[in-house]
Amino acid sequence: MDKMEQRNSRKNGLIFFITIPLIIILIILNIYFIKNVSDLKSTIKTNTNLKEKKEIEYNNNLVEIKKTEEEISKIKNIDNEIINAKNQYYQTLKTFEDKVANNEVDYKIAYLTFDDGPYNLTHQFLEVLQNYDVRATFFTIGYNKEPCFDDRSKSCADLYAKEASLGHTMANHTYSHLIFYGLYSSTESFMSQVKKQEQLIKEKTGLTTNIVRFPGGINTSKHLKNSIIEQLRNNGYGWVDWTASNGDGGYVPNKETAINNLKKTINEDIEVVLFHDYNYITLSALPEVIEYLRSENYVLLPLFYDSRMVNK
Amino acid sequence: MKYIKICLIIIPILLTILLGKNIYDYFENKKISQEKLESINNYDNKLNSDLTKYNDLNAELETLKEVNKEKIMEYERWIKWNNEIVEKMA
Repeated sequence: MDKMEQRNSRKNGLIFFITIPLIIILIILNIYFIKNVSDLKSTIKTNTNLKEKKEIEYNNNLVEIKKTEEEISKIKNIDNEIINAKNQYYQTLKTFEDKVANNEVDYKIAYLTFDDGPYNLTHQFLEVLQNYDVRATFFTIGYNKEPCFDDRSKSCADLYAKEASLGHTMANHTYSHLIFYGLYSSTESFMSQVKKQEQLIKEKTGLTTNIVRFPGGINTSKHLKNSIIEQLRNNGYGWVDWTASNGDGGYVPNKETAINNLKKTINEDIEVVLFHDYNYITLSALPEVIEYLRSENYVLLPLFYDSRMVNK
Repeated sequence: MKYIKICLIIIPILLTILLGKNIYDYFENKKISQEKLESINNYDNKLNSDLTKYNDLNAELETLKEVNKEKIMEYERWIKWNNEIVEKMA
């Protein structure tokens, strides 16, 4: 019996001797791997956040690159972009003009127009218009512009480009304006002067104009009126007279008279105002004229071909 | 004594199973961790390459802006004038 017990006791001892260290080793190994797994999980969590951050950074970068590429393409195509922006502007003006005509907005429109230039004095007109952030329309002629008619020491040839670059509408008042020297002798004579001026404007500004004003007004063309209008239409031109003026084509003694003359003629929701950019009185009255028109809720705009004030 | 013996047999078995699971988790997580690290490195490489591209594009943009300064100003003016009229209609 004792032997049996002894053997059992030895056997139990052996079991303890083997399993206890084994259990200890297994526990240690488990702890080791649990700790490592926990560390790895924490690293994965950190790396996941980092990856998400990098992904966002990468995507933002892609957006920036796309934006930059678009901007580059836009600049490379800047000439077309300018043409598109201009066309959009004139379309907006057309919508605005329609709304004014239909009393859908509380504004009125005054198209300021300057005839017979450019003169050396035009620089000062442009300065006033720029100071008041006004775009107008210049019905230019080409005769006697180089040197300037009002200052023979200067050239007025560069003024066409200056007017255009400031956003003013370049319009055609014939090359010669010589009403009493053959301009209205025939339709062909008139049209040749229109085309000559067209060519000059194109050469100086790169722009093609499509609005004409008859020197002296439409009625000066007398019996040629319909024939010239037809020719203008056939050549893609519209024409415009004026609905208001300060009388500066004739004698105006002073600024006050010029302003009063103009006020007397302003009464419609859409006005085409005639000025001459050789006239000092008009120049001195211009700031007050602009302020007056704005106080009367007029928006001062440049003419455009699709305007209802441009006859076709 | 009998129960102790049983426990001494069962505990190592359970610990071994647990160890197996932990080893599996360890290698699985290590693999995931490695993948994440590679992915981060990939983004880093892409970012570096894109950054170079972005810098080159920006340099090109700046040059173009400088060369076309007047035209850009003209374009912006037309947009501004257009917006002014749009605002009046709003």
